Amino acid sequence: MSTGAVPTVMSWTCEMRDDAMVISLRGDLNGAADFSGLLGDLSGKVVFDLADLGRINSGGVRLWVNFIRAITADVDELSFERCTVAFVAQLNMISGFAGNGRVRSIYAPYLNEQSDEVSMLLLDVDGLDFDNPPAFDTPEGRLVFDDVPESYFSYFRNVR
Amino acid sequence: MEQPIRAVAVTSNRRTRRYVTRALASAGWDVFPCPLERTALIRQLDEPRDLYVIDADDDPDHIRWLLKQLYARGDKREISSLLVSYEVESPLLLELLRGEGLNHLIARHGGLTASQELIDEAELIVTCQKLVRKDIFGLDKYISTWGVKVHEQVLTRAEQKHDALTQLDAFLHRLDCHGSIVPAISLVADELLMNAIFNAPRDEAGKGKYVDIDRAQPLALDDHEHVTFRYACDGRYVALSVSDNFGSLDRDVIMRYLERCFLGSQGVIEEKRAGAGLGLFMVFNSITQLSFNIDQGKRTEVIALFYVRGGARAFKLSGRSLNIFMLRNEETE
Repeated sequence: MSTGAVPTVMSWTCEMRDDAMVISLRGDLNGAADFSGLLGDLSGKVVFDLADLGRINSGGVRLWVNFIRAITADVDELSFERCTVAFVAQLNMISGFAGNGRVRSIYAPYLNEQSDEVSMLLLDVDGLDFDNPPAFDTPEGRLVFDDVPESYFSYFRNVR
Repeated sequence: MEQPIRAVAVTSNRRTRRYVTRALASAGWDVFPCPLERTALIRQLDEPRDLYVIDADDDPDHIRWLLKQLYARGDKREISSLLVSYEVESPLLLELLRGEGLNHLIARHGGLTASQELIDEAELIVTCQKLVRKDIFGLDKYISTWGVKVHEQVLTRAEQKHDALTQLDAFLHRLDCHGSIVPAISLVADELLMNAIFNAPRDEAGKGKYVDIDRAQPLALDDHEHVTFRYACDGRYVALSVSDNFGSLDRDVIMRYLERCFLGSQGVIEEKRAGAGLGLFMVFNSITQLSFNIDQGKRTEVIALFYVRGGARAFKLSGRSLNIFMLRNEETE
């Protein structure tokens, strides 16, 4: 997960990966986000890479949900990967935030029990036990999930 | 000698009664424990009392009856009553808060760690003092530890919001605040600032002055539209406040916006244009305590607190509180 400063203006890059168009979003998802440059260009398989998404506010949520609604008819397969904590919070909070898309991977807070450091670990959603998220033993210490599973994974518990 | 404030702790739960009694007695108040039972309550209602602290997890019918009695005996403007509950998402809480006169709730999840049991005594004392004394404004009431620095920024232009949020992020970074909590704090600050900048200002006709403008464009605020942003941390909580000079938030509007929060529902994007509704919904889902201090037509101060002693887990388990303190014009003129 990027820890560098994220620019406030939303931007994106597009690349083809296998048969999917991968769109990497960067910047804040706020009322100034402008997705008009993507509308009409999306079809087939589309993947949003969200690792560099910054702050999200209600203005951005409104634009995002309307954008996802607008592209639904043109896209055969929509998915999201490397979703940030802020994005996961919105998945849980806002109906239709992912449209009919599939969330493939998310960052989740993990606490190192020895060092008390919290880091964001990337979890594949497929096969994830949402009631008992895995712990990881590392040379630096044992990493345990540092959130409330019922809350952090509520979106996934509802859609499975 | 000043007459002590007289509070009734209405609960049949011994543990809750002890919490309430200890907190309010330590504030120098006279506390009268009372089970949620009509005969005992009628005896209390016949006595001069300043505040009722009511255990909302007790019998709903008796709570409804008590609130009805309090409202009937009150002066129709403000009934000093406060609900405490283990439940955060509860249709009953929503129903009670929708009722006349009741604006205050301290809700906690059950099964908490020892450091965050039912009631935070400091929160209870502050809430009760504000209720009874009608002295409602000020972040310092929540972050009162001697030596804590309160940061302040006055926004005179809408585009300064980004700088304010960047400075808040830097502050949180200096605190070594858990990274998983930072997005929630940042979101709340963003929403409250947007609300104060774009939704609060009224024109001469009382209409929202900037509600429909393009929020991506620069905007210079008139002098009386300047927004004050404060934040601080006492080690347990990060607290922030956003103040405007309009007092245009309405209790019923707040309750309407927060309805979904109490029902545990997701937010639905329906509105075409921007407003405070979705933002307030997101705010209430991202805080530990939220206090609306409103001097109607004059000033609004929204205070949000975030429990930061632990990580995201401790933050979410620390519960949620909602207070709506209203001063009506006749009380302030």
